[in-house]
Amino acid sequence: MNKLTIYNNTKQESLPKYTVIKIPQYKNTPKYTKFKNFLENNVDTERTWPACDNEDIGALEVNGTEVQINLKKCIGCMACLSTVKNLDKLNIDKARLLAQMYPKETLIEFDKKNVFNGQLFSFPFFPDRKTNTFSEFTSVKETKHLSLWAATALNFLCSTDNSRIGKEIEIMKTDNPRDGRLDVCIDSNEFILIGEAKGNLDSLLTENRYRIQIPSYKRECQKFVDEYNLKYNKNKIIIIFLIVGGEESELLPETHPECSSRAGNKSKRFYDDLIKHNIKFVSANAILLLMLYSFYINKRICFDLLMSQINDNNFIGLTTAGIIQRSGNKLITSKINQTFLNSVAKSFS
Amino acid sequence: MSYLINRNPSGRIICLHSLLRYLYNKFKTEPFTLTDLKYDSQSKFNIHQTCPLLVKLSSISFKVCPYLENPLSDAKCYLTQSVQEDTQKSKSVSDAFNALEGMEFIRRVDKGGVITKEGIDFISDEFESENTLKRLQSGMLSYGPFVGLIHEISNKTRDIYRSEIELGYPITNEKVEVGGRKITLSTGSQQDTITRTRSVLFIWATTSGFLLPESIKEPSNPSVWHAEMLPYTESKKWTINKFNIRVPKMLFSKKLFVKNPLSYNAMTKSTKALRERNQEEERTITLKYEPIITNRRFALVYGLAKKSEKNQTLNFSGYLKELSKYPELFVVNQKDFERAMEIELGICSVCGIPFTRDKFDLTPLTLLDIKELSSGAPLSLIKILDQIIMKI
Repeated sequence: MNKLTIYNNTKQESLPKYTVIKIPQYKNTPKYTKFKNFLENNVDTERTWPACDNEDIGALEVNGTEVQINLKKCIGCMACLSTVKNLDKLNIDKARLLAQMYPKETLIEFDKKNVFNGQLFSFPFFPDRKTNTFSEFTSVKETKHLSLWAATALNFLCSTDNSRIGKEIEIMKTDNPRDGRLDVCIDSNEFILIGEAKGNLDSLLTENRYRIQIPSYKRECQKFVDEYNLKYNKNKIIIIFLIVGGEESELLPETHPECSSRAGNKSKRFYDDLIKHNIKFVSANAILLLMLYSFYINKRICFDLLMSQINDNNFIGLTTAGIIQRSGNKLITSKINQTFLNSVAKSFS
Repeated sequence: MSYLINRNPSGRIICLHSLLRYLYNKFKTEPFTLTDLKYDSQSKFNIHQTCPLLVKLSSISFKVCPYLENPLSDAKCYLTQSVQEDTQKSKSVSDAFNALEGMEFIRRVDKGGVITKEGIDFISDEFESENTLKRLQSGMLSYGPFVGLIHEISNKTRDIYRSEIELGYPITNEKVEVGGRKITLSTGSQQDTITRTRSVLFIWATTSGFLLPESIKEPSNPSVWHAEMLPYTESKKWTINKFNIRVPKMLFSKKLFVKNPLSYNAMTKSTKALRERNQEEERTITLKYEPIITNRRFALVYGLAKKSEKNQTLNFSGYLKELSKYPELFVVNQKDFERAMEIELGICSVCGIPFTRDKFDLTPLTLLDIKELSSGAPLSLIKILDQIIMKI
C-alpha cells in the first residue's frame, strides 16, 4: 500500500483539511504594531500554504474525495497532520499511521523508550526521493521549509486548544536600521513562544547575526508584552529561542561523543556565544521527535509546558539527546525521563 | 518614456506574452491602468486564462503559477501579483509594464498604457511561432538598455561570463559636505539591482538568439530559437553563467535606430530605494542633487544622440567645458566635475547609445528617438543643450 488516506473530503472543499497551513496575518497599522496586534489577536487576513512542500517532497495528494499521503514520497515530517490541532476526522488510527510512515527500527526505539535518553535519536533515511531526510529538508529554504514547518508543528504541540500562529512578524530593532522579522510566534495562553529559524549550524555561524538578533528581539518583544500584561491584567511570559535545522549532531557540545562540529571549533564558538548572550536553542529534530512520540503515546507532549519547566538559567538547548545545560563550567546533556514527559502531556482533545 | 527594468519575472517573455494577451482580451485597444495588469479574482478576465505555464500540484485541486514561492498565495501570478495580495508593492507589475513598453508592445498614456500595433502583432501568433521571434528581436532592439547590453556583448571575442557585464546607473561616489560631515550621494545602482537587470536582459538575449547558454543544446531550428530555448528560459532559476555569443557581426555596422532609450525621468534610480531608517539624511541630500544628476546624464546622452543624427563626433572635453558654465544645472562639485562625468559616461550605453572613443572624441554607434529620450525634460534645458551642441 503506497498511499495512506488520512481524510475523506466528502464536502468537496477546494482546500481540504490536512492539506493547508493557515497563517493569520495580523494588522500593522500604525507601522511596527504587528507584534502588538498578534498579542491582541487583531487579524487582518489569512494566508494559506500547502502543508506539504510540492517542490521538494510532494507527498500529499488529493485524489477524488480522499486526502492521501504518498508513502513513496513522504519523509515523515508530520506537517500535514499538525495542521489540524484536534486531529479532527483523521481517517486512521495514530499507531497505524506511524507504523505506515516510519520503518520498524524507529518504532522499536519508541517501544524501548529510547527518546531524549542522552543519545541522538536517529531518523530514517528515505531512499529514492528528492529529499531523503528530515534534516535535509530543514537545512534548506529556511522560510519555506523550517519556519513554516516549525510554526505548524509548535502550534500543534502547544497545550491550549486555541493556540495561535504568527509568522514573519515585523518588529523594529532600535539599534539596527533594518527591521527584524520574528520567524515563528505562538501564543498559547500565558506563553508566547518566539522562534528564530536557522537552517543549520553553518549558516547560523556564517551569518552570525543571531547574537545580536535574539537579545534585540527579546528587548523589543518584552516591551509589547509588558504593555499587554498591564492593559489586560495578564501574565504572559516570553520564551525566545533559536530553532535550528540540519544535522543535529552539529548542535551538540564538543564534549558529547556524537558531536560532529569540533572541526574549526564550531561547536565551541556556538556554545560560547549562546552562553555569553544568554541564547537558547531547540533543534528541529527535537520538535519532530516530540510530535512522533506524542502520536506514539497518544498524548500531546506540550512544548509550551515543557519549555516553561526546563527554561531555567542553566538551560541552553533541547535536542533529541536531551537537554543541554550548564553544570558549573561544564556543558552536560541531561536525559528527559518518561515521568517528566508524561507530566507535560495532555490527551488529544 | 522608457525605464530600466530590474525584476526577474520580466525576464520570461512567455509570461509577458500571456500578460499582453490577457490585456488585449480585456481592453482591446482601450487604455488600461497599472493596477489593471494585476490578477483580480473579482474580474471576468485574468492572466491565468492566457497562461500556458500553470501547473497542477498533487495536493491542490486547481492550477497554480509555478513561480510563486507559495503556490496558494493570493498573489496568483509571479509576474503581476494581484489586486488582493501584492507583496512587491506594485514594483513587479510596474516592471512588467516597463518591459512591454521597452519592446514597443504597449505605449504609455496618461496614467496607464494602450496596446500598440506591434503588441497586437506580437500576440496574434502563438508564442512558439517564427513570427514571434522576429517581433521579439525587433522589439528588444528598440529598447535602449538591451541595445547597450548587446553592444557590450558584441565587443567580446570569446564566450562571456554574466559577471563581466555591468549594467546600471553609474556610481560616482561624490561627496557633499553637510554641517561639517561628508555625505555620499547615492545615485548609482546597488549591486543587487545591477545583478537583477543583467539577469533579465541576459535571459532576453537568450530568448531572442543573441546568446546561447553553455551546456544548452543549440536549437535545431534557429527560426524558432525562442521556443526551443523555453526549457531554460522557463526554469525557476537561471543558473548558467557562461554564454556563447551569437550577435550578428553586422548588427552595429549600420546605425540601429533605438526607439525606446531611457527617457529624461529614468536617468536616475528611484530614491525610494533608500529605505532604511538611517538613510534619511543620505536620501534627503541625494534628492536635493537629483535634478543635477538627471540633467548631466541627460546632457551626455542627448549630446551624443544629436551628434549621431548629423554623423558627427562629440568632443567630450569641449562639451564638459561648456556644461560647467551652468553649475546650477550640471555640476555638483566643480573640482570633481571631470572625474564624475567620466564615470557618468556609462549612462550612454544603458540608454542605448554606445560609442567608440578616440581621446576626447566620442563616436555614437546608434541613433536615438530624440522625442522619446527628451520626454519629461524641461524645454529650457533642451534649449541650453542645443546651443552648446551647436557651438562645439
